[in-house]
Amino acid sequence: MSAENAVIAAAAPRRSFGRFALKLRVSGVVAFLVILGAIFAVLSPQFLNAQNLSAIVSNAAILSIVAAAQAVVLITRNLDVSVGSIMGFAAYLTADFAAQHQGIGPILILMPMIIGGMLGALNGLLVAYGKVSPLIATLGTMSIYRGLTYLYARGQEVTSNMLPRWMLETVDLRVGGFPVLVILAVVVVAILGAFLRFFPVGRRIYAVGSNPVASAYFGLRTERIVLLAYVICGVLCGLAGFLYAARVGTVTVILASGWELTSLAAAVVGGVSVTGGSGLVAGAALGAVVLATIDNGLVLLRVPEFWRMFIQGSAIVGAATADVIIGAQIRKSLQSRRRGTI
Amino acid sequence: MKIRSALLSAAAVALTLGLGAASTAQAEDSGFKIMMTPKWTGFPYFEAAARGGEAAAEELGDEFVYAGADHADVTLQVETLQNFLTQRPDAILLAAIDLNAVAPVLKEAMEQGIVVTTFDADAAADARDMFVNQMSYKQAAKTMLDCALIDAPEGGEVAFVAASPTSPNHSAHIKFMKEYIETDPTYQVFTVVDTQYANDDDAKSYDVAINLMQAHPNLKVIISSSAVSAPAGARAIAAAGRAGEVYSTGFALPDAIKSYLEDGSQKCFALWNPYELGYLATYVTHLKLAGKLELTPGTTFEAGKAGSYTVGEGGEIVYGKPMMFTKDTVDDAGF
Repeated sequence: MSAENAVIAAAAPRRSFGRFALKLRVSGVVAFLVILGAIFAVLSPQFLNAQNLSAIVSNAAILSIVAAAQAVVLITRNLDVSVGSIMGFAAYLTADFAAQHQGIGPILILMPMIIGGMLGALNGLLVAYGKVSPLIATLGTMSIYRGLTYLYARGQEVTSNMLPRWMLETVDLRVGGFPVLVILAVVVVAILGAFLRFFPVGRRIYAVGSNPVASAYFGLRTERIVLLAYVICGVLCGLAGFLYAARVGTVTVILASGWELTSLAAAVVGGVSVTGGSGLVAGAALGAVVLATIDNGLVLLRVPEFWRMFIQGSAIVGAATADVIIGAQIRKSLQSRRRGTI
Repeated sequence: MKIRSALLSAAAVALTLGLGAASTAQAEDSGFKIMMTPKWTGFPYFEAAARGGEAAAEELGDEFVYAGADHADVTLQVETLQNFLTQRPDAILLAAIDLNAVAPVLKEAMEQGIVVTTFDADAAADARDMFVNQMSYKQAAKTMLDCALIDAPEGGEVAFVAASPTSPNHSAHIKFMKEYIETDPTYQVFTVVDTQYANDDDAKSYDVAINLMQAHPNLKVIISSSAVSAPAGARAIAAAGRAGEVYSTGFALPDAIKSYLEDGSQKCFALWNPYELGYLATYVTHLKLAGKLELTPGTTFEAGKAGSYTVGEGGEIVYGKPMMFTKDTVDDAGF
C-alpha cells in the first residue's frame, strides 16, 4: 500500500510534513543562495550592486532552462546526459541555416526546438520503449548527436558575422532594465512549472517517477509519459542551444559540451531528487543561479579556479545528502500518518 | 635471441644507410612527392596552410598532396599517416594532434627514408626531422601586448584568460607577458590584475569576461591566447555595453572577430599567417630533400617568398611573423 500512498502523496500533496519537506527542498536552495550571497556581499563590495546581480542572472539564464529540462527527466526517475549534444546539434544546424538564409526572421527559433524535440524523442523511445538504461541510452546518443554535428560541420564553424544581426541584438536586449534572456528563462521555467503542477499530464510525470510500478497499476501509460518528458527536455535544450549560439556569437561543434554534468549539478543543487518523483523545475533553475553565483563571487574575490571546483562539488554533495535525509523524513512522516489513521 | 636481434638491427641500420645513400645519390632538385595532413581538414586556418604548401610545391616543381580527417581525432590522424606511407612519398608534413601518439608511425616513415616535418604543433622530437614553429612564446607574448597597446595606448588594468592552469603554451605566454609588463618600459603602462581559466569554451569565456568586468571596474584589456576566448570576450564586452571602455584581444581567426573590428567595438587581434607558415614548412622540406639544408643550429637559409630563416636547436625553425588584424587589415587576411 505504501506504493499507492506515494503516488497519491505526489499527485495530490496534502498539508503534511511530506509537503513541508517538498517545499524544504526548494527552500534549501533559496537558503543556500542567501547564505552564499551574504558571504560574497560581506567579502566583496561589488557583489550586491545591481549591475553585478544582473550579470549573474544573465550568466545563469540559459543554464537554468537546461537544468529545468533536465529536472523534468529526473522527476520521471530517468536522466539525460545528451543535453549538451542536443544543444550543440540543434544550435549548429540552425546557425548554419541562418548563415545561408540571411533574410530569415524570428520564426527561425522553431527550428532548434523541433530538432531538439526529435532528438529528445529518440532518447525517449530508447528509454521508455526500448527499455535501455537511461544512462547508457543517453550516453550513446550523447556521442551520436555530437558525432553527427562533427560530420555535418566538417571542421567549420559559424562566426558572429555570418549570423543574422537580429539574432545577436535580440539576446542583448533589456526590457525594463532586465536582460531579455533572464525574462525568457523565467517565463519558460514558470510555464514548465505550471504545466507540471496544474496539468494532469504534469502530475503524471511526478507519479511515474515516484513509483513507476504503482503508476502502471494505477493505469498510467508510463512509457508515453517518459517519452513526453524526454521530448520536453529535447525541445528546451534546442531552445537553449539557440540562445547559447546567439549569446556567444561563435558556433562551434563543441558548443555546450560538458553541459550534461553542469545541468545535472544545477538540478541536484536545486533540490531535484535523482531518485525521481520530487523536486521543482524552479528549484533546478535556482540551482543554475547558485552555480553562476559561485562562479561570479569567486572571480570577484580572486579565488583560484581550483576552489571553484571544490566549492561547486561541495554544493552538489551537500544537496544530495540533504536529499537523502529529507527523503527519509518523508517516508517516516508517511508511515506515522498511516499508523495514525488505522 | 640476442644475436638475432643484433643482426636484425644491423640489417636495419644497413638498410637505412643504404636508403639514405640512395636518396643523396639521386639528389634531384625537384619532382618530390610531399604529402601534408592538418589536425583536421575544412578549417579555414589549415586550408590556408595547405594553399601555402601547394604554392611552394608548385614554385619548386614538386607534387603536393593534402589530405586528412574532417575532425581532430588522433587515431584518424595515425590512419591518415599510415595511408601516406603506402603511397611512398618523399616527405610528410603534419600538424600533430598529439605529441606522442603519432610518433611510432612517423619513426616508421623516417626509417623508410621519408623526411618528416611538423608545423603548427610538434610531434616528439625524435619522430621528426624539423618543426616549423609559428612563433616563440616570447614573441607571442609581445604581439598580444602590442595589440593591447593599440586598444589602450594609455595603459591600465589587464586580465588574462587561459584555457587551463596546465595548458603549456597559454601559461608560458602569460608568464612572458607578466615579465614584459614588469621589465619593459613600453609595456609598463599596464598592471596585471587577474588570470582566469575558460577551457577553450565559448560560453565559459563569455561568462568569465563578464565576471572580470564586474570584479575589476577599471579593467581595460582582457588578453587571451585562446582563439575561442578572445572573440567570446569581444562579444561579452559588446553585450555588457562596455564597448570602448574595455577591450578583448589575443589570438583569433579573422572571421571570428571581423564584425567587432568593423563595428568599432574592438581594435586589434593577432595571429600569424597560416598561408606563409604552410609555404615555409613545405619550402624547408623541399630544401632538406634536395640536400640543400643542414639542420645544424645557426644555419641560415632562404625560403623563397617567405624570406630568410635560421635553424634553431633540435631542428626547430621559428616562422615568427605575427599578423595583427585591425579594421583596415582584417579583410586582407586571406584565410
